[in-house]
Amino acid sequence: MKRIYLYPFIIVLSLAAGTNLAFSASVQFTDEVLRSMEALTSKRIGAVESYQVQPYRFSRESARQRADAVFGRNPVAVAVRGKELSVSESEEEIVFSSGKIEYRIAKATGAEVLLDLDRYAVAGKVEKAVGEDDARRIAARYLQETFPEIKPEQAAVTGVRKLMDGEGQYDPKKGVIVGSEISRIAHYVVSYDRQLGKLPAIGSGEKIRIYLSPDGKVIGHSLVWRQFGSRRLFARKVVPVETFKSRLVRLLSENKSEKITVDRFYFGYFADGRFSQQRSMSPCYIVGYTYGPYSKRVLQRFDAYTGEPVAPPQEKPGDHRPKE
Amino acid sequence: MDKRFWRSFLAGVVAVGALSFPRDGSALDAGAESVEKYSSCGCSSGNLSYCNDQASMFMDKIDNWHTRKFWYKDSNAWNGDLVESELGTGGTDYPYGDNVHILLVSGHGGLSGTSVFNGYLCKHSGYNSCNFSTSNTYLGEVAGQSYAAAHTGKLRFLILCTCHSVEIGPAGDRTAPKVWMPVFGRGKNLMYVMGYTGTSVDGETTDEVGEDFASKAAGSGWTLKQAWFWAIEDWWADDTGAVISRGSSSAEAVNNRDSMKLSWGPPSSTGWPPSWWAISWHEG
Repeated sequence: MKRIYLYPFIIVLSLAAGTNLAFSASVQFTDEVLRSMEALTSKRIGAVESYQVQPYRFSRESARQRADAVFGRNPVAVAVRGKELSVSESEEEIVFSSGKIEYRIAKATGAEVLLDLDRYAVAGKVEKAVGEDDARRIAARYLQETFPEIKPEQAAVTGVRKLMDGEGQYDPKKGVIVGSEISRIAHYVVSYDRQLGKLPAIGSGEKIRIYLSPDGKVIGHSLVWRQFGSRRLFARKVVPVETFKSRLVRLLSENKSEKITVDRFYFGYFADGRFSQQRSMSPCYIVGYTYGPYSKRVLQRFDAYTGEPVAPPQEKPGDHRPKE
Repeated sequence: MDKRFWRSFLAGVVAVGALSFPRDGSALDAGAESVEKYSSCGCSSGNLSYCNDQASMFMDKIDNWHTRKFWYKDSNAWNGDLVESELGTGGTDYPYGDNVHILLVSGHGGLSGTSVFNGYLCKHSGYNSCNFSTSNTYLGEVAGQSYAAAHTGKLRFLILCTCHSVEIGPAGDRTAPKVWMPVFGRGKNLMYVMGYTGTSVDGETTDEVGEDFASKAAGSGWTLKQAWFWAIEDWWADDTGAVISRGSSSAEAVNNRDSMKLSWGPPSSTGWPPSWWAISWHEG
């Protein structure tokens, strides 16, 4: 009873400890991320330039000219050469098509997509399949022939991805898979990131993807490649990686989750997707982290000049439940 | 043979063609549920930032061609909406998740073992759990199937923008068929599931995925497979998309996986229950 005066002290102490625990996530980095951070630190990056993006002015006439050139020359469109093009238009893009060949131009950026929809995501009959090295080589040749203005040093291959198909049998009574699976490649995608000076463009924009059938025929491409103004906006020092890392740890540890694992780390120019106008391109850090095995990977972007996180856009209000 | 014979013959051919071609051109009912603020719905999952954008952009696009029914977010997005209402456990798939033809769900997700998928929305008083599970989903069930006595299910196409929703698993022991074939078997209307194998991203570079899918599948008439993989490939991250469909033969399952469009009507299978699965996924 004599120690009753200690109770408020103990309660306050417990609450403080509890609060601290509840809001302090343990932040861990994968070895790969730590290696990427160390590699970047060793480069001693100082001032980094920002680029001015030249606004794209959409016009139906120039879009038509581009479409005529593509349908007249590109090997993907050879089956419909000389045939009438039909045109449709949405808020975001204009689409020229003939048969199953589509050519799309984004109105905001001039980004283009050419696809043979008879072959895209369709395995089809294949006489002789090619490997990933062949796919890479064929894509490089197509890129050079189709976009000669893009110099090899401006576009770095980031990977070859496959779309795979598989099918098999299932015994619904026993609830088990039976027999063996048949699988095949439906298409290849060879991806390129744009290089701006010594840094890559990261994000959905400034990318080239070349699509190939399993037998190595080019079946389309996608190009988001903005034009830059003649002048660079400015050059500023970026927040050093180590400083950024400690700030990141502080920020993430405020999260209520028990453990956060940072498993992605990128440094480069942020490039938005095909449907977004972008006035300038500045350096950023992007980190990816998960909260645990059931968690999505959160990709968060930070302004590399300030180290501040870029806030998500204002959300729309959702629907309300009808009263029961 | 006179002209009437040929007209009648032609009409018959057209009618047979129309019946055998699994299409119905009517507008579909579309819904979406998404959660970012897990901390405010009593669940311990970490908060996210772009799931609500992903769902709202999907709805804003697909309602150009189809009928917008609902988009519930955060504490209004209930796990119970994917749980069978006739199980008596508080599920509300009727009148919500299974009362639309196409549903997009965006939030956390994961596997329990190798044959059950758990999706994470918010809990609510009626179904007080932090997740829904494929072990208690009866989606797209029709008269004569279990739990269709009071209400049949409408769902045909399910998009799960979560991690591991169509987990492919190792060759020889695929996960997606073990998770989804039992669910397909419970509902003749449910024909196609689109999602991710491995971890999926919550970020500004992937919030357009649902919108892009809607634009291509509903606006441009692409197949579901083309629209889904295009939507994932076009927005930057190393996300790996995956889809699964089913059929009563290998050819039927493959045709459903490769050629199905939003305009296809159920069941798109000549026999029941389906005994063949067909999957596609990104690799590399």
